[in-house]
Amino acid sequence: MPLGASFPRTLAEARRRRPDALAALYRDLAPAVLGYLRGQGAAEPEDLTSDTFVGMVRGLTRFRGDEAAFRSWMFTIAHRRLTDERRRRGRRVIDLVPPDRFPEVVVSDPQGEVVGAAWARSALAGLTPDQRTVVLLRVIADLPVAEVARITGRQEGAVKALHRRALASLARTISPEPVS
Amino acid sequence: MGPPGDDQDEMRLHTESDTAVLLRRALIEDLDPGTTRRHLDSMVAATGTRRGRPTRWLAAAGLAAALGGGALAALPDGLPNGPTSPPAPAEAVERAEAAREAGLAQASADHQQQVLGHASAQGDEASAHGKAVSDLARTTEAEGRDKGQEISELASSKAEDHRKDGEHRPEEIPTGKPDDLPGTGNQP
Repeated sequence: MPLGASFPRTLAEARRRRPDALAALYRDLAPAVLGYLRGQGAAEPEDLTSDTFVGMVRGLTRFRGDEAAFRSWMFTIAHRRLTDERRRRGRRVIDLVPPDRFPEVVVSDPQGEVVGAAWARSALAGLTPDQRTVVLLRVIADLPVAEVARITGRQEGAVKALHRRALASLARTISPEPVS
Repeated sequence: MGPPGDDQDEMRLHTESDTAVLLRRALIEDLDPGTTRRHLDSMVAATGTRRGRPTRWLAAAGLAAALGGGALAALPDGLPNGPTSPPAPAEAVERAEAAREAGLAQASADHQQQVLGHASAQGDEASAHGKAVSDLARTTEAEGRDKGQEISELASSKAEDHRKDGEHRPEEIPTGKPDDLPGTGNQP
């Protein structure tokens, strides 16, 4: 839930290191940041989420912009932390969807049928790394195409195409699972 | 009725939209309270970094305040590294109250002690001292400037002790890699 009109004041107070303001920013963005990192198959998504917010704290005085820019900035940090982690581990992106990194949630599809987190896990694993990054930045981070293009270093047209292909691929994988 | 292609496009858009909703539901969830506390601990600790010399006990006290304690009142200089002048003691008490009301986590007094325990015995000292200051702020009959003065003297007495015995200097914490810098308009 965006902070809306209270964002400028919250940001100003966070720059003064006020714990309640820092916590408000955390509460607003942490679930999506963690979701993004989980979706990317980060080895330690919770740790990277923490690193992302520590990076936020250290960079707050240099940040300039509104709430949308702030959100984009946060996912830029998260994306870089993820890239750093992969570099350190020397692992290929496509290998990074460990099966135990997804929350054990159950979701309902539009027809009222139920699919589990297993769906997200296997469906994302079937995407190319570029498709996965783009669809997660668009859907989970909720960033506009232009921002995704900037973060990924691609043209907006390429981002749109990757996003469309990724969603189409995910849609083909929906297979309802009965709840026991 | 439009051409068949229109229907197909519409159906595709619906499917893609529904898929995005499913993905969001599967991946976005609130963090558990324990993880949240650890993350906030790290964030507040990062506020204690002053040119690579973090003040760990101050950070722990700040977190305790955010979690619902009054230990922040123990800080003679407010949270470290802030661009503003040090808050008055009364403001520090208000800040602790505001953090409590923010409802980050309804930590118990036991939890406050646990959090402070992470930051070594210095944190425990800060906790006890902070509680004393917080109690004074709540119970003193003095008002206005006198109240501030009274609280300020108690709050700063700890810092003076630290300066005298030299045993409570902040510990070094590895600062890790350089910070990430912002994106558009916030480029490194």
